[in-house]
Amino acid sequence: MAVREMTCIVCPQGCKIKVEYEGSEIRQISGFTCKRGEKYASKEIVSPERTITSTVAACSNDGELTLVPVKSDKPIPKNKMFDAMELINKQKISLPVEAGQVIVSDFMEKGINLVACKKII
Amino acid sequence: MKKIVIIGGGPAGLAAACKAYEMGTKPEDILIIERDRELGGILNQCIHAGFGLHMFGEELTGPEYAARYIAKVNEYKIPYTLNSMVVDITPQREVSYVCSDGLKTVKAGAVILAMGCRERTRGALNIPGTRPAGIFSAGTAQRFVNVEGYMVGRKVVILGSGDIGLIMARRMTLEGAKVECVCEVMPYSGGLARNIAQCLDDFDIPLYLSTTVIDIKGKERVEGVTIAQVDQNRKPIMETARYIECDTLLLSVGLIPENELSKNLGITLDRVTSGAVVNQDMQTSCEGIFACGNVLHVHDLVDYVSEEAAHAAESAVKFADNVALSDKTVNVSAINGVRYTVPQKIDLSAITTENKIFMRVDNIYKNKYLCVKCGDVLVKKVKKAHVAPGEMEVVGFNAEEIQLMKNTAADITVGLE
Repeated sequence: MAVREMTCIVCPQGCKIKVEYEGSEIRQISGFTCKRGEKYASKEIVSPERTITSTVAACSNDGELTLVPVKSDKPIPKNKMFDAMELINKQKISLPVEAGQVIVSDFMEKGINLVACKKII
Repeated sequence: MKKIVIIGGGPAGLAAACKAYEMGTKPEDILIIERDRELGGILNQCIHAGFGLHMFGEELTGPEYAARYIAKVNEYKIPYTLNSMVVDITPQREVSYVCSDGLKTVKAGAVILAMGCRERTRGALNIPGTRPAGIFSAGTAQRFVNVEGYMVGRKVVILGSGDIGLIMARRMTLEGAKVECVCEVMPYSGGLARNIAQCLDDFDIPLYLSTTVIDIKGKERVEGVTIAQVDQNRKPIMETARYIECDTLLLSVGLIPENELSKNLGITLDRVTSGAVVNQDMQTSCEGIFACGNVLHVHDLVDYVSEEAAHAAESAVKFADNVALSDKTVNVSAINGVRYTVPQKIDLSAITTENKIFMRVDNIYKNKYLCVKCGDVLVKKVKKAHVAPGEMEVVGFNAEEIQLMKNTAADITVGLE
């Protein structure tokens, strides 16, 4: 059986969680102080994921370049972070853009979107 | 004449403006003065997620958090002036600012200081070496990368493990840079534990504690830095010195509340926080001038900034409406491992369950009690399994504890035991 100690990243409290597991089977989780932490810990063993944030280049009508902050609207698999960055850096959009506007649909996984985080006109 | 003038349109200023309106102030009686070209302050460059868990129950990016408040400011039709820099505030609350129309002066019923903070620089650290290009404070690099669209370097060493440094370690890595290491002079990190996990550990970036940069090499551009471990007195141990090739050094070595205006005004500042000394109404030593957010003391969570700003606005509106605020105050002192408290003064006759005391500790402690005493009387004792300088602590009081303090009517101390 394997044991892993981790810092929970769900909230700023940063609880130290200990997970005992065998393969992808969770045996025991301790040290968490909320349900979300417990869920995070088991997810972290089975299929770790992260929300990714970055920027996408945008061009306004008068040719001015700006950056639009973007994020994955759901966490993506952790091992796809750099693939995600590659795809994000290929994007070029035109203004105006609304907050929440989908920049890439089915981003890295089906059902996840890359969305704009800021309205820029 | 404006009833409420707010200096700064970042998270503190925005929350203060919204609260002033919600208390019944007419929008045209409020003015937000912002130095930058847009509202939102430093949140605009904090494109990472993690804001608003406490305030909105969901994890937002910086721009999204700002947008929640900017939407309200627009909905309430609260006026604001951009590209406008306040140059002077008088004790009579005349606020002068420079904007595209020239120099303007506005008289305020109450002023709310919400100017935020700025980064400590290389100069403040006295790092020896040459002065090449490629040395940035972490926040400046963050603005370059996230807002202006310039990548600041390819091979990076970060000095200081404050949250911005950690966030930038991840950001630079994702954008293709190699972050060689993060060095921290203290034996513990100054950032949140979760940022060590998700910004360093996720990318196998080493964090060297009790380590600092002792030399910078490079003529035109940074070529490398020499790092060394430090002893208990933070003196470099020369035998441990080693050279790391890099083209960029980021500094995340602390934030300083931006209080030049407050100093000119003669406001009493706290030597530890570098912010104003305030009472529980967030009123400074200068009547009718209130302070909130990072200009008062550096916060780690924006949610608390918004909360504090709303509280300051509440008091400011009362002041402008000639509602009596607290005056007979006792001192709140930080002792035994607690570095500072905000507020530093409390009027026990006016304290409510809404009032909170914020504080930071001076080291990492395990299994301690945070004790609030009024004179010799123990008012509150809270068990703390783990406290760290990077994580702000807060205590509030219930009706019983407040009554006990009222009855005792003595100076308050907050310390660890």
